[in-house]
Amino acid sequence: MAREQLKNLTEPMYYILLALSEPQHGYGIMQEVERRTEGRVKIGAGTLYNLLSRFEEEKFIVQLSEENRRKTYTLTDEGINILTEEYQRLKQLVSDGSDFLEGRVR
Amino acid sequence: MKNKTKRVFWGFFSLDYKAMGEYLEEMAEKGWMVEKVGRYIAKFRAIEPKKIKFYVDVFKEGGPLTPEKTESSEEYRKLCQESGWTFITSQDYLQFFYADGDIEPVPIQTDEEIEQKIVEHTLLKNELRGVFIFAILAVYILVRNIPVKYTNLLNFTGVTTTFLYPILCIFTAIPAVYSIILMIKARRNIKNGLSITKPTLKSARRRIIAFYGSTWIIVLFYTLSFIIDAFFMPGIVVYVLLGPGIGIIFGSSIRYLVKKNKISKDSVLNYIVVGTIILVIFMQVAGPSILEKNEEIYKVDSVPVGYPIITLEEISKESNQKGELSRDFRQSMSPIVPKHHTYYEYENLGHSSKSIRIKYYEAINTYFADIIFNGITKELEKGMKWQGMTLFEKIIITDDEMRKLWDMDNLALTEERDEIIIQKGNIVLHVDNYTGVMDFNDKETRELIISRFFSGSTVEN
Repeated sequence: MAREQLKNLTEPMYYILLALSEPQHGYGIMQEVERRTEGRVKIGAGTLYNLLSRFEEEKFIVQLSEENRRKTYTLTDEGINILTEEYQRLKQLVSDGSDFLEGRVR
Repeated sequence: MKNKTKRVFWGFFSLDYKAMGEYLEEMAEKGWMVEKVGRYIAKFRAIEPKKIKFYVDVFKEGGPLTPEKTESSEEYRKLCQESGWTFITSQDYLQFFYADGDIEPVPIQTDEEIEQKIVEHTLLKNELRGVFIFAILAVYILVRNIPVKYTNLLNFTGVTTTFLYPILCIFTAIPAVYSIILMIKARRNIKNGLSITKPTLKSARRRIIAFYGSTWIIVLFYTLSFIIDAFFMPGIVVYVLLGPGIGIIFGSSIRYLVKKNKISKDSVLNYIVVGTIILVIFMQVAGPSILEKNEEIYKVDSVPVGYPIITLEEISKESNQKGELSRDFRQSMSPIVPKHHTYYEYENLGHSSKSIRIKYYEAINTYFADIIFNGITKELEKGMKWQGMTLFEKIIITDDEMRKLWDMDNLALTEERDEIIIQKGNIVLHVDNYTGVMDFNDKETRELIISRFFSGSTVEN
């Protein structure tokens, strides 16, 4: 599949990378994302498989081990960078809207 | 519990994969659990009727020439299994899962944009590739058969090809058109932040009926045509079917071996090249012997009743010389030309020879008789292509006075006047007289031919 350069991370991408701040296998990532977002974000197995393949190709994550067809991944420095950039972008978005929106949020 | 299985026709378009899950749920409620899905047939096992959730997903690393079990497919299936979906079977890119009981597992795909991209790079590509290959073949066959060739009107297969093949081409284009419409809609929805419209089971079924219904009717026509033609020319029918038949068996075997991991995907191209070379050599070697057998069938001593001919004996009044005589008679029929036969008689006199060849065509109407007449004259003018050379080209002349004398609608002669093509009403006759045993200007010859071949012609106004 021809790849497009990632500009911004989607919500599932962001949480998957965040979950990989600790070494995790696929199902562990799904559980961690669900726990962290209190069930708000759920990632399907197919979507996760495709995103992990893509992140591995982009060198955002690296495989640490494989046991019984279960691969364990963790973030690379490149992955940490992209996650940090996304965090800053999101923070900027929040900051830009805070003047107007802060008083309206219940 | 019924311990039985059943097989049902599986005609879903791959792009209707979302509707497949709905169908499988319906079947489970009726007491049938899917076990295996093939390209055209799905196998079901009897179970207690119950509600089961199904999920059909597209696995980007699958495909027609990918083994059922690979490292990546096992990893993906394990991940699905851990999230609550049990793997059942796979069919090329499609992966079939179910979830039992009341559990509500997270759908396998939760990002429509990613899913859409996978579908475009797998199912759509595959569908369009197939249609593209067929389109090249279809255009080639259509170009070869347009304008209508008179030889195609003489047998059932030719008539089917002339009249039904263009319709078959239109119906085969349905998947391509449908795929493109579906993809445009899906892309537009994603761009506008909307959900992709899921095809309903009802619409998927309508597509199955439209595509396979019409295709099967045409396939049935072809099958019947081959069977009927096989009575008149078994060797040619066997020869025509042998190549595609061996090709399909060979292709299916290769695919089966790849699926079962017996041969590697990378070596498929080598097998196809070697297989094609062997097939071509085999056809070159086996072809002549099959066609020769066909020739032997038609060597006859007598001609069936109802097929008008002229023998050498009838026209060689002055000669009492008798030589070794051989005759060849072959007949065929089609819905357009219900009666067609060729008669060839050859007499070997040692120092010389005599021969006559008659080709008789009785079409259903004047329109088709005209096509046959024009087809024969053009064929004679063009001659025969052989190893880059053109052989036996003839100059065709028309003689209006002679046509009036013969009382024909059309009359054409070769410049040497050794061949005559005449048409009256629905009947066309081509007489080849290259050894000069007949004189087409002779009154008796003319009357003999007219009374023998044209007494029953129907003239349309």
